[in-house]
Amino acid sequence: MLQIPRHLFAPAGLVPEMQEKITLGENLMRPILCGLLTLVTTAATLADESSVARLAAKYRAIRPSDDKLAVYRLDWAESLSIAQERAQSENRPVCLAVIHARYGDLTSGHC
Amino acid sequence: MDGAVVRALQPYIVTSWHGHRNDSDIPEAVRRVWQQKYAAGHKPHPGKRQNVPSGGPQEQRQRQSNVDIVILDAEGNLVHWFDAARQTGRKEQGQPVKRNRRGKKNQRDPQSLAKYTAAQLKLASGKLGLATGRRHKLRPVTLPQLDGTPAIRILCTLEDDRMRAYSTPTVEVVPINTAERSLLTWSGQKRTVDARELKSWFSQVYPPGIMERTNPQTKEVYRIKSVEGTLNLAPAGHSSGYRLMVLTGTIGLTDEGEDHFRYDGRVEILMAYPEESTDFSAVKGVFEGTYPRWDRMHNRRRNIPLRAVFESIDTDS
Repeated sequence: MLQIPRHLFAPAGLVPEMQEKITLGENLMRPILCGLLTLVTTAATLADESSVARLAAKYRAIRPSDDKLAVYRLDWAESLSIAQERAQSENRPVCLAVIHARYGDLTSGHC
Repeated sequence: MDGAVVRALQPYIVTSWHGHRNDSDIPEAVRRVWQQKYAAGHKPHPGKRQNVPSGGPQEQRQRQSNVDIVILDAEGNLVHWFDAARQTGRKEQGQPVKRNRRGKKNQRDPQSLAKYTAAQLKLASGKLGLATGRRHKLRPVTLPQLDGTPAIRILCTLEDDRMRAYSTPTVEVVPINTAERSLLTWSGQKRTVDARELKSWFSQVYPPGIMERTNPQTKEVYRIKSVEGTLNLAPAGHSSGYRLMVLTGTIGLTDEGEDHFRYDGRVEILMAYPEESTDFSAVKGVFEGTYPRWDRMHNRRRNIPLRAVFESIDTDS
């Protein structure tokens, strides 16, 4: 038999607030177990919410700011030939970064 | 990238080209620039540090880097070019020599490099007849994506306070494939996931400098050969009508080098699933690790923080 303070599971206002202990029969076990499950679920939900909020905060903290990503404020063209085609049609100048190396990709930041 | 340089570049279409002087497909503009750059009298002084300006008759033998900035007009004519690092750290006449905390001369002053670059771009804009005094309106930050294809974007930063350029984030984009969606389907139960199955995401987490780890023969950067780790995938409640799961654990990344170079980090990735679907519709996550780097000056290993975020690019993310 499970002994438990009544007020924990009673709807507010229906049961006098007292620490009277009662003995519970089989017919009361189901709602109490449901109540316990609700408590456990609520605790798990709060833990989930807390870990999700913590992860979201970490993501925001680590993600580079727009200042750090300023290179993506430039109007990039994939290649010199594409840049020159666009330059002619848009009547705009081209800024070409020439890298004396075999590999690298300025647009991804690997150089 | 410095704000003044970003503003100065707003009128331009920006692109890059890389290659060697003996390549067969050098663009005409690059050929002309390199002819001028490597002409007699502009070669680096043999046996001498290139970043120390010399005086007298050797004055023209100035510092050279392997990056040149070339300005072309709309018709493709060469308007102006400059070595991207030529003036770095040079002392202005009458100005005190800047020294670092150890009392050594600062050879690479990022602020002076930014000023030099902005001044050169101003000069080029003047030659092009662009309004140089005007503050150009900045474009919004537009990150790479795969047109029409759901993808994961990985933004990675090596937080090395001795290599300022390395703190500039890299941005890579990889498509999300069917196997990855299937691997990460919604379940109300915890399960484990082999990190190898997400290699295409995790293998983008490496430092920006391609010289960091390269094949000495081919000069090509070592790619990540293997990803190891067992990750836990667990339900994490609901939010705004979506079910959530969190993928957590430690992964190890080993590159193609013969020395089996490896670094580790912890990943935490949150995925959101619409109530009516078991496929995730949005991903946001982090990698927090350390990247071991050999400090030749002090003959010791330094563990440098390497961090990355993962974010989905999807119609619903």
